[in-house]
Amino acid sequence: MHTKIKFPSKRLMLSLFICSSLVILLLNFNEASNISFTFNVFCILSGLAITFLFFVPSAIIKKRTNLDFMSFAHLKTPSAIVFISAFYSIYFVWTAEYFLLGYTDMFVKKLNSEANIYVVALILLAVCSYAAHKGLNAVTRCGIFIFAFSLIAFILIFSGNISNLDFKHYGFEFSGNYNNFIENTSYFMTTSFIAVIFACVSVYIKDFKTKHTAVTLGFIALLFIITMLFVWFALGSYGNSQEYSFFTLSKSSHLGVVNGIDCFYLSVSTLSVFLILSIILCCISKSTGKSGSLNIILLFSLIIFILYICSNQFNFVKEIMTNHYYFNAFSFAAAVLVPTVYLFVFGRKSYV
Amino acid sequence: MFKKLFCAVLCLSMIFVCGCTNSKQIDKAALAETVTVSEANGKLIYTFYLLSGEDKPQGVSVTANSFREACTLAKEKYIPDLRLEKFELLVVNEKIYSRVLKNDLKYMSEESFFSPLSYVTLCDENTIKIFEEDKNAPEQIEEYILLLKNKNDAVNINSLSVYNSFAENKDDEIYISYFNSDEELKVSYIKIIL
Amino acid sequence: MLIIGDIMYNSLSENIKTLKKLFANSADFTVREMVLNGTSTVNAAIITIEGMCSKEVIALSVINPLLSFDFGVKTPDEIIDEVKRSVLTSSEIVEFETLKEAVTFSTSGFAVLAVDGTDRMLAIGVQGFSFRGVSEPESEVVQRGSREGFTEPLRINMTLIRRRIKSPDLVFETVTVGSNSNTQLMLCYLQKSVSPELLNKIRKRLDECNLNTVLASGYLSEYLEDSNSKSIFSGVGISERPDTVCGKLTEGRVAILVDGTPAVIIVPHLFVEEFQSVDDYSNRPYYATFIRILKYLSFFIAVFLPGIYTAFAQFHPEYFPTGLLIKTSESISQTPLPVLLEVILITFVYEIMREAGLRIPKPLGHAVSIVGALVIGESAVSAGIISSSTLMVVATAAICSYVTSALYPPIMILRFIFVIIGGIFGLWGIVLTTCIVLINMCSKTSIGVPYMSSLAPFSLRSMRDVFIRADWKSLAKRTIKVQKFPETEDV
Repeated sequence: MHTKIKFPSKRLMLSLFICSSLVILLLNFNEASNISFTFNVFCILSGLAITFLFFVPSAIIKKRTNLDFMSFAHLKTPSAIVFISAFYSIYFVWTAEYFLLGYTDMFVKKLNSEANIYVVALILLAVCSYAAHKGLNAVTRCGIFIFAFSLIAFILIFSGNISNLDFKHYGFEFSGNYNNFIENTSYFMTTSFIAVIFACVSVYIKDFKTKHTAVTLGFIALLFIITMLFVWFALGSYGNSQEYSFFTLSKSSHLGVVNGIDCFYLSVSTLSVFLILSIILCCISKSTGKSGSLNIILLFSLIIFILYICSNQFNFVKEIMTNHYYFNAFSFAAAVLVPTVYLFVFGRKSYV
Repeated sequence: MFKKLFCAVLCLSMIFVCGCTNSKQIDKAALAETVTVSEANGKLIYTFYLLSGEDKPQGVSVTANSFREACTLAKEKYIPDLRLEKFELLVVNEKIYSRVLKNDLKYMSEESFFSPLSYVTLCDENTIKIFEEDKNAPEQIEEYILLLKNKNDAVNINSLSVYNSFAENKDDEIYISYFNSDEELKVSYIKIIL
Repeated sequence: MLIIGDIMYNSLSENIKTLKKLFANSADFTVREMVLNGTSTVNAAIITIEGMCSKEVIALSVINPLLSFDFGVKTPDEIIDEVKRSVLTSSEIVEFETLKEAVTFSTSGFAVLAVDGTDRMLAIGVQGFSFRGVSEPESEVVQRGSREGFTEPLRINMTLIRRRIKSPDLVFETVTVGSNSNTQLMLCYLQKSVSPELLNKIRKRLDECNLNTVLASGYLSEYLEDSNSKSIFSGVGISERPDTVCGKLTEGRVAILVDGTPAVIIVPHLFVEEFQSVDDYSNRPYYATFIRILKYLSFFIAVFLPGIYTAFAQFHPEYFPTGLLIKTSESISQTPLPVLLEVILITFVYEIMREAGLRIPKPLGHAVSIVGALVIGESAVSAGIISSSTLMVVATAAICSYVTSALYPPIMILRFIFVIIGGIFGLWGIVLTTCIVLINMCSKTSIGVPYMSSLAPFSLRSMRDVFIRADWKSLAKRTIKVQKFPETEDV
């Protein structure tokens, strides 16, 4: 179902919020013992502030022309659209790999060590292909339900950990060094992929206001900060012994007689990765100019799957795919560099 | 038509390739609820008490140098379907805690199947023996631990708080619950120093 | 095979002969020939289908006046005009000029008057076929609402709606479908509320109906649904209650009455409507809200409980609370089948019993319930074929599915799917299948209106009648027309 009907900007932002939540659900860096909670908050805010800046070029294009960057590029440089499409397709394939590898890694380590990761990836891609074929509108509608469930899950997990909070052992001092700052900030900056998604699909939204982006990033920051608060003050050193601290948080939450609600973690992380991959496949089909074409979606799903197999067979490929420095650099190029060039060259004459 | 056929073949092959083989069926899974750590003839004995509907407690004893080793050995030789996701209580004999407690807690913190809220307590010899006779002993112990925590907030009762106290406490001393049953089961807390 | 054409002969005998051939000398094709009084004798005939007309009414209102009247020197055409104007006492007289219409009218219970020497005929309304009286619909029982339900004859159903909406806005538009059955439909709408584009779409889809025979409203459902949004959920609503239909009409929807069936089609149809009933608007708001929430919960339990139970029992036993885990494990360990097969078996047997209960003659109904209770409830558990915990789960889901009985077909299908997926892939599989179902529902439209309207696309204004039932003062402030829902296509 690919209609020309535009949907509200708030709904896209809601979906992007859920996509970003996967970054914190797959939080996997082991903090050095001398990095404090306030330092991490500073890193979160820095990372998300940079993410907000990544939105600026595509937001300007949207405000001026009511188009997304892909449509704008198609309009201004029809001859170069092949290169632009190829560039963004490669970016989205990388993004899909980044999250797929992270999710399956978590799945095997935390949820089911005997699961066949190739089957998990294949089924996930098949389901996401079906969703992408139905269109971005349907996917973002589904995002409303995912958001409602995720909200309940987050509330349950956080409220179940309130009794574990221990402010005596850990304080609010600000301690950390430059390397920690770079590493942590670059990790939280991986949310900048949502700026690239926005650059690709903002033509489908109506009533866009810049404050929607700011509010969304604000809520993302809030979620990240609350998570770090609980990871730091409720889990403490226990949380550092394991990867995927959010999983440990879900395991340590208790609500009355119920101890541990990691089933909610499984559900929320699966729903988030489903939403990310579906939106990415929508973006890929949009960037190729054949929005909703099942053949294009299946083709790229196959490419992602083959690349996934390669990543698992060859370690160096996996290291490149999951390196957040490279990913952020690519996001910068996709969200800032290319659109800014177009804005400077064509932007002044493009007021609607 | 071709697409539907392709999807059907794909689904069927996926069903056969995965899923069914690694199920942990509820009737076959051996879920360990309590583990007691004691000593005999200089060797450490880890006893796994499994959840069951029997009247008498079902315990399987394994001789090992650590909890990690005991779990591996138990799975390989005695309880192939052993699952620790329902593990709730670690009971360590007071005479050997200094040898095992820190390492065992480190093992529990590294493995995702352990709940951070599993209770950890020390006890005397007689209390260890209660577990062999009374099926309701773990429930009783947990109730006493919670009552103790309500009276004294400084006591560390679960693996999360005990592990964190080990990690953060510079004096290497923490308060932990202790059971003795000379005449009847009593709970108190002791200060342990590592 | 004689094809019904537009030709009507001037000769009475030719017309009668042609009609007899068309009806293949059917035993219920009746011709009452007569001679009309006048200066010159004119032959005429009353053509009826036996059983469709009231013999007393024909005799009193048609034959008697015709035979008593002196037509003087009138020509056959003038006789037709005179009869239409001042001879007959019937309230409905329609003039027509084709044999095709003669067939249609006679098979609809009209008496057809043919006069020798003219190619015009009159259809006189003297219907007298027997039909079921107005009674409470068994599929939509309410506590406080009306006890009237639709019946088979179209005219009576029209009356039931007209009595509730006494407004000239209410329009009935005739459509005929079915090349063999010539089934009459009525498109019913409020002209100030309905969207003209919506009406046009519905008319176009009914035109595209290429069925030979239309015997029930369900035949038309597939033609009315949007072709690009296939789903196990229906985009077409069905109701047997006039009060429900009238409520929907005020929201800009269109009702389609089908002759011969009490089930009325209402389009567009949304998911949230399955949880609304007439009782909600008669009861107090707090109670209605409680019942609404109960319905939503029951829906989720009916769909997900067996699947989640299977997934937990096969893959995640640690998610059961400890006490329940021990009991469930004990009961399952005593049965020979894996949990997945057990759940499928019990669900299947339950469906067989449900279907048998629907079809079985009433005197034998008690035997079915006894067999069901004893065979499944007692003996199978005692014999160790099935476990009591599995039986409890399936029974709970089955009872919950009747809270929203209109959704029973999709609930049943989804339940099976989730059980199979849960048994093979565990909770992860259930989550992904839920995503597939959600996407399917979110992409579905009903005559251009998103099927999940009010929820997705989210409409805060509509929330006063979705999970809660706001009081009438706020509901009455502004009726939300269906074409005004966000992201509705071209209507």
